[in-house]
Amino acid sequence: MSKSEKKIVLKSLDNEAFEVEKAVALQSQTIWVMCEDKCVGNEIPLENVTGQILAKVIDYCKKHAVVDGDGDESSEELKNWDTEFTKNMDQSTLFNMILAANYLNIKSLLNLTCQAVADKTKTIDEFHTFLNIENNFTPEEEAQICQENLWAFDD
Amino acid sequence: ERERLLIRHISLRRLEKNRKKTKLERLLESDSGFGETYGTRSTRLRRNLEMRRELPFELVVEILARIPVKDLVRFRCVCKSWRSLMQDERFYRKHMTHARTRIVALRDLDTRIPICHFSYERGKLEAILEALDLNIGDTSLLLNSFVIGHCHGLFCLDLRDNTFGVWNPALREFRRIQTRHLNWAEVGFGYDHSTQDYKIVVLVPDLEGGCSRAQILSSKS
Repeated sequence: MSKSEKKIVLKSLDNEAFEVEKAVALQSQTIWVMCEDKCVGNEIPLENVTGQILAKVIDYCKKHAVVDGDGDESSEELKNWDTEFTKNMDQSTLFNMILAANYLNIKSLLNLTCQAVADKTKTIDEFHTFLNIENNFTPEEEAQICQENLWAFDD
Repeated sequence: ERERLLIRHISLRRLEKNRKKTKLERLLESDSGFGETYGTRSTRLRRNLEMRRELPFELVVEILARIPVKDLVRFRCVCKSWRSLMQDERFYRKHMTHARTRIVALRDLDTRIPICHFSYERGKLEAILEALDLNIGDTSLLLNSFVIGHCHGLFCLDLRDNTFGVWNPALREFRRIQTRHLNWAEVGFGYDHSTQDYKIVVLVPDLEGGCSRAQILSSKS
């Protein structure tokens, strides 16, 4: 394999180009399928991901491409790295990371980001704003449900 | 009385939230008329808001499947579709594959029922979280009961009064199931994949002492 075949260029929604090792990019099932089908050249346009988010996704893939296949010690280190990775992300970044992980079909990243949201979001109000969900219960209905599950509301 | 207070509290909280919302909307509207910097800020804000609407429900489910049970019970009142999701069998199963908290059966000799649950994270047993308060009307019934078996975090109890109890400690739900047989020989508890139901099988002895009949009780009924 020549050197150029090992590299691949990912292009974001806002036309930012990232050159990465093929092994790194292929952790995305979506990219993997695209490459298998040979429907794209060396440059893959990703229409749903911004450059800012794509850069983070690539960071993640690089880290995981290097460590995969090593011993137990590194897997512990990898978990710590994962925790640090999501720790300082704000809600909107996490939100877009989930969308990107889903679109690119990277299972472990989707798992990581969903878990991070689940860990960070604790109250009903946080969910209402984060997911922009309309509360469609009447106050009476809501009170009824609260009554039925009172034990879950005391901390 | 308590319920009326609760309703009042909820209504007030909503009013408060609506006020905040309209404030944000006013901000958006007033921004758009101004110079370029303000204009871009408002489109950014608006885009943020719009993007937030786009998380597909299947991804919301992915997040919810990773939330601890106790929080999930509170989230039942987030909106109607969440509530029905949390009554869905398939969601239970999905949640089981992700949840970090596992119920570990612990039989205390005095009470004969499992009373503790453990949280374990990344395969390591962490700590006893709490002794569950049972949320069952008559605890004396439980104190005399025996555990018949457990499956997917559900416990099947023999309540010693010709009824069985199916107990979900995580959701603190309890259901009694009647049997018409006073003397059964063997009993078992398990999950039936074909009907997606938890069932109790009761073997009833005939006069010669052999087991000739079986009764199957569904936990759905």
